[in-house]
Amino acid sequence: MKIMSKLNGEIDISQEKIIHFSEGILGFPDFHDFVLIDREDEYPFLWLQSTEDPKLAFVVIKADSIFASYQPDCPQGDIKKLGLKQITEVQVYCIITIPDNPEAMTANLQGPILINPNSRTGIQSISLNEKHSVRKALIETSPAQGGL
Amino acid sequence: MLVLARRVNQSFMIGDDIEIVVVEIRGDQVKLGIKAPKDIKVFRQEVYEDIQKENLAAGKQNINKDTLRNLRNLLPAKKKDSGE
Repeated sequence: MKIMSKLNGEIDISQEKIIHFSEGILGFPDFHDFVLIDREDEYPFLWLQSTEDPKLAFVVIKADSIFASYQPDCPQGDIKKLGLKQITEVQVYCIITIPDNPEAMTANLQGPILINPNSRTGIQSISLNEKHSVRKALIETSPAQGGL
Repeated sequence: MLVLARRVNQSFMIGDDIEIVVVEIRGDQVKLGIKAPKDIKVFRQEVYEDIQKENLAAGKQNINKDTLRNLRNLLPAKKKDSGE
């Protein structure tokens, strides 16, 4: 089927690529179907594009492509809703916020997007780990202070 | 809105399986204990509001096609941190 995307015009996607978010995304409860658009020249950024509203698309990043050991501490119930038992079975994505100064972009580690790639279902969960910031800078503005 | 008066160590139920206990009262702060099934999400309201606000900003941002291509070159190699 053909859908309009926010920045990449009309794209052709197969029906089975659609990921269903039964609870929507916080703040956008009326939109349930999204597709992940990955373009080689934009990697590691991807688009989580609504199939229902061309204007609604989030820039996301697969968590393990940038944060080596980030693992959200999500409620077991959210993982169960995806039909899975453990967070390790889930694909974790973080929504990226890009402000007017793009280099100040941040990743939302507190509200990760969890996807079950087999059932094509997704949920925006919440990490119970309060150190997981809603706005984690992706580009360090000052030299890193030692390792973590 | 239902308003209930409770003392320390007293509790109230929401439905059959959610219990809220007053653990401690000190000044203008109340500590509450929450016993709920694992699939019930319990969060401070601010956490929801923060995530919602961030989503609204991220969903509405206007970037052009070059933004991501430029930004990807600025990303550090995989960070060895856990985001904490």
